[in-house]
Parts: sequence; structure tokens; C-alpha cells
Amino acid sequence: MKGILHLVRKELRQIFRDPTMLRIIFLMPLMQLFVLGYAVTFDVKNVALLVIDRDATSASRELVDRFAHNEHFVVKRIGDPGKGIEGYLRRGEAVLAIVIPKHFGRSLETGRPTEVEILLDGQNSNTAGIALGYCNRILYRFASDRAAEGLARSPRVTRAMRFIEPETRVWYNPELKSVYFMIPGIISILLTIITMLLTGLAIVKERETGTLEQLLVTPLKPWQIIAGKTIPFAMLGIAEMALATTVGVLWFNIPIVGNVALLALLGFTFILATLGLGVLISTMAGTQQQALFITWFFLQMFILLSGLFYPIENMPRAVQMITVINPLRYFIAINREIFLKGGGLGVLWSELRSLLAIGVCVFGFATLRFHKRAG
Amino acid sequence: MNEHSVVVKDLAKHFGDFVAVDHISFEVRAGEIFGLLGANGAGKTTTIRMLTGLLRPSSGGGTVGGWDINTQFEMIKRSIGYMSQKFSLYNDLTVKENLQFFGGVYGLSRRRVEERTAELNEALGLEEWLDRRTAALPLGFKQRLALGAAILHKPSIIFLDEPTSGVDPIARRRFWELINALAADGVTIIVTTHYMEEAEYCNRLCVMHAAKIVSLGSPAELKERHGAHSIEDVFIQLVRGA
Amino acid sequence: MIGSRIPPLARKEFKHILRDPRSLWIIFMLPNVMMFLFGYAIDLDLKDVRIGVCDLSRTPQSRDLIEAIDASSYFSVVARCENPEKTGRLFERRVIRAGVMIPRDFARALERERRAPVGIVIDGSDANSASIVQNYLETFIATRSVGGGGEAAAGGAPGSGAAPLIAVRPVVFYNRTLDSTNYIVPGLVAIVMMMLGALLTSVTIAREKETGTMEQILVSPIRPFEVIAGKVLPYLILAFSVAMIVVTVGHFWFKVPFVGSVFALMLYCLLYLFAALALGILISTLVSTQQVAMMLSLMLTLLPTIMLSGFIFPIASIPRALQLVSFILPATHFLVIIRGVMLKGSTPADLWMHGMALVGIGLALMILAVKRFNMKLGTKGAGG
Repeated sequence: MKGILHLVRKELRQIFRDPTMLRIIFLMPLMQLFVLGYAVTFDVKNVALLVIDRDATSASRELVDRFAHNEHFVVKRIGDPGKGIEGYLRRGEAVLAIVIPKHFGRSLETGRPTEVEILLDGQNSNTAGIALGYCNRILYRFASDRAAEGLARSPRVTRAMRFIEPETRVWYNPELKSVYFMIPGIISILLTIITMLLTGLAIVKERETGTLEQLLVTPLKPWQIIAGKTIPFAMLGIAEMALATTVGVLWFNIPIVGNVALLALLGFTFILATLGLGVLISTMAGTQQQALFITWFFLQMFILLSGLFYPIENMPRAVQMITVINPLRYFIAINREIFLKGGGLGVLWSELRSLLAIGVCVFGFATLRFHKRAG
Repeated sequence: MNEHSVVVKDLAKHFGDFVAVDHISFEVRAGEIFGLLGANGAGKTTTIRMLTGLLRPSSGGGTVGGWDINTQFEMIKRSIGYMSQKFSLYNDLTVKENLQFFGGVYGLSRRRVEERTAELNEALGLEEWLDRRTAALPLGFKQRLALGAAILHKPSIIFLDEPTSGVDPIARRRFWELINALAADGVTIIVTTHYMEEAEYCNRLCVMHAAKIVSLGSPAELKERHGAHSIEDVFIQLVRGA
Repeated sequence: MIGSRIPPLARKEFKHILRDPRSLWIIFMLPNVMMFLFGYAIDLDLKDVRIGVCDLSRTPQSRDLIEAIDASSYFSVVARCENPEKTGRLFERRVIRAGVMIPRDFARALERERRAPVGIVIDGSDANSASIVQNYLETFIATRSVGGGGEAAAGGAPGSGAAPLIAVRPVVFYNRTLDSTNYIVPGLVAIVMMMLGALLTSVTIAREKETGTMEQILVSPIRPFEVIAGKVLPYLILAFSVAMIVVTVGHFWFKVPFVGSVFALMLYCLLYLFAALALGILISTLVSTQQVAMMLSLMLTLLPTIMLSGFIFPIASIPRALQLVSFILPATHFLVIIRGVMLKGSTPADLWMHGMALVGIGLALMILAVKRFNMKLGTKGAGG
């Protein structure tokens, strides 16, 4: 048991001897947090919109005005480029173009149906869909308002109209601030990078320099060597998580509705899982460079398939099964619950179980592989 | 304790189709300096690694300090010292910290480590370097530090794998004086080398070639047996003939 | 002669690379495996969002509305409840992501006053999909209106004979099927190539410093920029090969269209990789151990490339100050380029600004790297 203590002390000494590494471990995540924290927004805003008004009546001008004052769009009004509209899309100068036809105003007044053409750059189907949706809403409201006036003037025409009006309330995050759950998400990602990579590299480095062999010759058992390697990085990870979470919460004013102690406990199991993965990777790599690439692969997979950026529900079954071993997936869900919804252990029980399962399996597997190499 | 400190019987190791050690046998007495001489790739390092519990033999066995190398390697590790070819030390730790670490891992208390360091100071000559980073040490000093780390816990048997590679002749000579002093104290020393003149310093040695032992005996015996004046000649004869 | 020493250096580096088959295998396999995985995994289109419905009206009109919601491919009604109070529990247990509440006097209000409100509650904890869900749901319900405006969705408004007042005719250019894969896959290429390039070179110089072979090189009459060029060249060829394979996979396997010029894309690829490798080399000159080089290159490229390049978050939406940061990332420009060339058939004339940006960034990084390398030589030698 004392052997582990010596290992931990040695490792900590080595870590603190390298000021560059310390700066990277503690300062870089904070810097990234500040920068990325402001970048996260799924709001579709400032979409470059081209308006081609072929009518030029008060009605059409009012419609154009509604688009101009909408925060989602940035309107570039132009005359009529005729066939040249596509060029604007191709050059990326606009994402959408609206063409208001010639007799727009007159049609509205006489109650005759009219048609507005919307040209879309479809490459980003998501943004295109959302932007189209906003267009629809603006047109709908415009029509609805016109109809309300028209009701008084020509009841015959507008008799058939009925409007269903949705009134929305958003729970748990009324302002739909992405920041509230992205910041904890980013912190989790940064934590994963540090714990997985550092642990893996540390072990592979000892293998490369030959000190691992030296350790194996001593009375130390493989599991003790693994423990001696992971405990220091667990300590670092916890320190980092505490620091980043505190700073993030204070700076970005993120509410924590749930139990902080629970967050800490679950965070600890999360760190264990990622550390274990680092150790496992170290048994697969012969050189530090290989360890780097393998870690990169897992990291990228964990990040993109964590549910933070893309919904896991949308993924094909096979891929969803892969995410079962992704500790980040569970911790993102945990973050969401605790920060925004105030869920307790009752709700998060399956996440805790999964994290523990990953931790135990991974460490077990890694220790086995260690033994094999030794024998 | 057994009269024979280390016994090797029919030891063999293969990696897939490659035979690294081909059924070798020898015995080492307590307090003997026993050398494994051979070119690179002859099987010396593999043999040492099997004896120190780093590698599991494919077949055959033996004992180190009375403990069976196939089943009792945990006990073996406690009673031996090992110095690797790379002088495996932590470059970013100081000399003192390296000694503290390895001593601690072998179960020595802090005070005991300090006592032992003081005892070894004269022999190792590392006193002024205690607080310097290991990376800053010249090679000869690193070599002595590695040896020091290996004998802190006063093992009765020590394994040295190519301990003098890359070290200048004066440092090498000094190192062998240390070895001799240890042997005089009753420590069994098993050393591998490919420096011919070093082979002369051993009590007995076995010459390895292509995974087999081609000759075994004291330097004098070997020279007589093969009608040579130097171990180098013995070696060349054996290798040519094999 | 200037540059005459580059070939032997490049050859040495090549040998290094080829002698490490496991690394080589990883370098080629990893990006392709990632493409497969993420190409299938990432799907932004809304599908079967779980809705809970509370129908207090229980009239044909309200039932029609609910059926329409359920019939839509976007939504799936998984819970029907009598009591609005119960919806809270459904959200807590994550059974539903949004709730629709149809009030008691829905049908009456629709007939008499011609406007009837419908309540929607959204689970906002996942803000990104929440706003999408809100958008779709609101639009969907609103356009169920009879004879209003906006797009008449599939199936038409219930019982309507009247055409909408203002109909919308959407015309989609590039990516007519609005397949999110076509958008994601080129983006993946950009991400993967950036990281591959930076990771590859960040290690090399640091490794030579660690093992001491750097000293050996610098003792010879080799110039610093020759050392760097000798390192970049083999990795450029390596990374370029990987890039071509990855793009081919994207086109043939995922059926991402390739409208523009292959040659143009290859050229842009080279420029992009050059910038990525230059970043790696720069990192390499800043640190003394492999470990730190790896940490630094990974941290510097992973999240910023994914989050600030326009891969996930549209750049137009992020604050101005950060848009500047985006602008200096090579990935930002390459994303526009590769999507433009593959999906839109953009020509170099269309893309000249981004092309220039790539060249500029690459050169700046490279010059910095050579300068740092020089500096190290001047002070303590290459021990670092």
C-alpha cells in the first residue's frame, strides 16, 4: 500500500516540475471556456436574405419591412437581377432569396391567392429548414393581420379563414440559453481530454523510457502501478473540474437548480471512467504518438456522439449502441439534469450505474492487459 | 540458504517462431560474479528478464534465491536488484528523489533510505549531485545512480543488464570495483555484457550464441579449453565454429 | 545550393513514417472509420419528437389537429393525458420533449371568433433542439389554420377548400434533397484533416529534441527552414493521400454530390493541409517534450475546430468578436471551400477570398515556426 503512495508522490512531483504542462492543464481549459462559451448558440440569426420586390406597392414594402426588422434575417435589398439570383447563393452572399411577384398588393386587396417564391441555399439543410420556417411564420402573420383588416372590408372572402395560434412556454430554460448547458458540456469535454490523454501518455512514456520495466521488477503489483498512475491524475481532474465549474458558473451566471454534492459525486465517477480509458489506451499503444492518435479517435467519437451537439435519438440504432460506452454521454445528461432541471439521484440512477460499469470494466480490462504484457 | 543462489534448468523462450532462448542450464553460487557474454540478440537480455520475473518462460524453469521462477516471482522480486540497459531512471527527478522513490517502493522507510544513501555515498560518489536533476548527470554518474537504486534494499542477488554501455573506460573500471566490493560482501551478481575485456572480471561466465550456451566456465578455463589467449579469441572461435 | 538538403531530410522522415506500421495503419484507418461513424450518426433532421397531448376540448376539430401532429414524420404523440398538471411528471421522467394543450373552448373559439389559442410547452434543457422543436411545432400548428398564410403542409388543412392567401413556393438549390449528410460529411473532412495535420507534425520536432537527434541534425550545415521543409513535405504527402481517400469515401459511399472541379479541390486541400501542418510545426517549436506538444496540439485543435469553424454553430450567429477568431482558423475557410466545391460547384473565382485566407494563414504560421526555430538555435542550441 505504501508503494502506491510513493508512486503518487513521484508522479505529482513530475507533473509539478513542468510549468508548461501545468499551464496547459489549468489555464487552457479556462481560456477555451471563455471563448467557446460565447460562441455557442443554436439560434439562427443574421441569415443573409435577398429580397426582390417586383411589386413595389405599399403592401410589398410593408412585407419587406417585416423581414428587415426580424432579428433572424439581415436583408439585402436589390433590384431585379433576373437570372443572376443563383449567383448570389453560389457565392455565399445570401442564404435565401424572396421574390415578391408583380401584382402582390392588388391580389391581397381583392382577396385573390398569390404566391411568393423563396429560393434556398440547401447546403445546410438545418439552417435552411429553420430559416424557411421563420419565413413562413412572417408570411403567415402578415396574412393573418391582413385578413383581420380584410374581415371588416370583405367578409365574403375572409369568412373561410380560421387561425390557430400557438402560445408557447419554455420550461427549465425559459430563455433557451444554450449557454446554460453548453458550458457544463464544454467543461466535461475539456476534462475528458485532460484525463484521458495525460494518463495514457504518462504510462506509455514510462514504457518508452524503460522505467516501467524497472517498476515491474520491484515488488509492486500491476494493479498498484495502475493505481499509482491514475490517482494523481484523478486528483488533477477533480481540481480542474472544481475550478472550471466554479469559474464557468460564476462568469456565465449559470443557475444550478440541483444538488451540487451530487454533481461532485457523479463527476468523480465520470473522471474514474475517463482515467480508466486512458489506462486502457496506454496498453494498446507502443509509442506516445500512437497513444495520441488512439486517444484522438476516442475523444472525437465521444464528443460528437455525446448528445451535446447532435441528438442521440436521431442516430441509427447501431450507432446508438456504440454510445453506450461513452462516458461523456452520461455526464452530459447528468449535467443537464442537475443544472437545469434539478433532478436527483432517482432520475440519474441509470447514468450513475452506467458510469460505474464503464469504470469497473475498463480498469479490469486494462489490468488484465497489463498482466499479459508483464508475463 | 541453498548453496546455489541461482539455478537455471532447461530454460527456453520463444516468440512465435523465433527462438530467443534455447534450453539453457547453469548454476550460480552465492557471492559469485557470473557473466553472460554474447553478441546482441544472443539471448542474454531475454534470459535475465525471465529470471527477474519480467517474462514468463516458454518452458523449463529454475530458482532465484530459492524461489521458483515460474510460480514464485513475487517473492523473487522482493529479494533481487535490477539495473536495466537504459539505466531506467526518472530524468525529471533529482538523484535524491530517485533514490527515495525506489527505496520506498522496496519498503524502506525514509530514514533507512537516508542511512543507506549515506553508506553508499563514498562508493557511489554522488554526494554533490544529490539535489541535481537526473537529466543533468553525466552518463557515468547515471550508471552509478542506477546501481545505487538497485541495491538500496540490500538484495542478495543483483542482475545487471549491459550496465556499462556507453560509459568511458575509467568510469567502467570504477564500476567494476564497486561490483567486486559487493561480491566480496556475499552478493551474487549476474551480469550481461558484450565487452570482451569485462568478461575477464567475472568469476565464471557462459558464452551465448544464437539462443544457446556454447561454453561455460571461468575465464581461465575457457581460455585453456579453447587454446586462446583472450576471451575475445575464445568468443571468435566459438562463434565461428557454431 | 538552397534547398538541396531537403530531399535527404524528407527521405529520412519518410523512412521514420514507414517504419512505424502501426502508426501508419492508424493514420489511414482512423479518419475513414470516423467518416463512417459520424456520417451515419449525425442527423440533424427532426424525427419523431416525443409529444404529449392534453385534449380538453374533445371535439372533432381538436382530434383532427392531434391526428395531424401524430401523422407528421416530425412528431410522435406518445402520451395523452387528461390533466395538464400531469405534464410536469412526463417532462421530469423525460418521456416527452414537448406538450400540446388544447383548451376546452377550442372548437367554439375557432367558429365564433375565428382564432383559437393552443398551448405549447417545451423542455428547454436541451436548448439547441428545443428551439428547433419550438419552431417546427409552432409553424406546424399555425399552418393547420384554414385559409391562412404560410406553407400548406402535407395533407392540407383539415376540411379546407380554400387556398391559402399567401402561398409559399420554396425552391431549393444545391442539396435538393435537404440531406443533412451532404452538409456534415464535407465538414467532417475539414475537421479530420485539420487535426491529422497538426497532430502529425507537432510531435516530430519535439520527439527529436527529446531523443537528442535534433542536436545531431543541427550540428550539420543544415539550415532551419530546410529542417522544417524536410519534415513538412512527407507529412503533406501522407495527409494529402488520406484526404483524397476520405473525400472519395464521402462521395461514393455517402453519395455526397461533387459538382465542382476535382482539381480545384485538390489544390485547396494542399493549401489547407499546409496550414494545418504549419500549425503543428509551430507548436512543436514552442515546447520541449512530446507530451506537452501532444496536449497542446490536441487542446488547441479539437474543440475550437469543431465549435468555431462553422461546422456546428453557424458563424453568422456568433458574436462579432468571436467571428474574428473564426476567421483566423484555417478550418473555417476550408469548410466554405469544400462545401462550395462539392455541393454548389463554386469556382475559384467564387472562393478567392477564402483561398487567399488559407494561403495567408499557412504562410504566417510557417514563418513564425521558422523564426521560433531560429531563435532556439540562437539561444541555447537545440536542446530546448
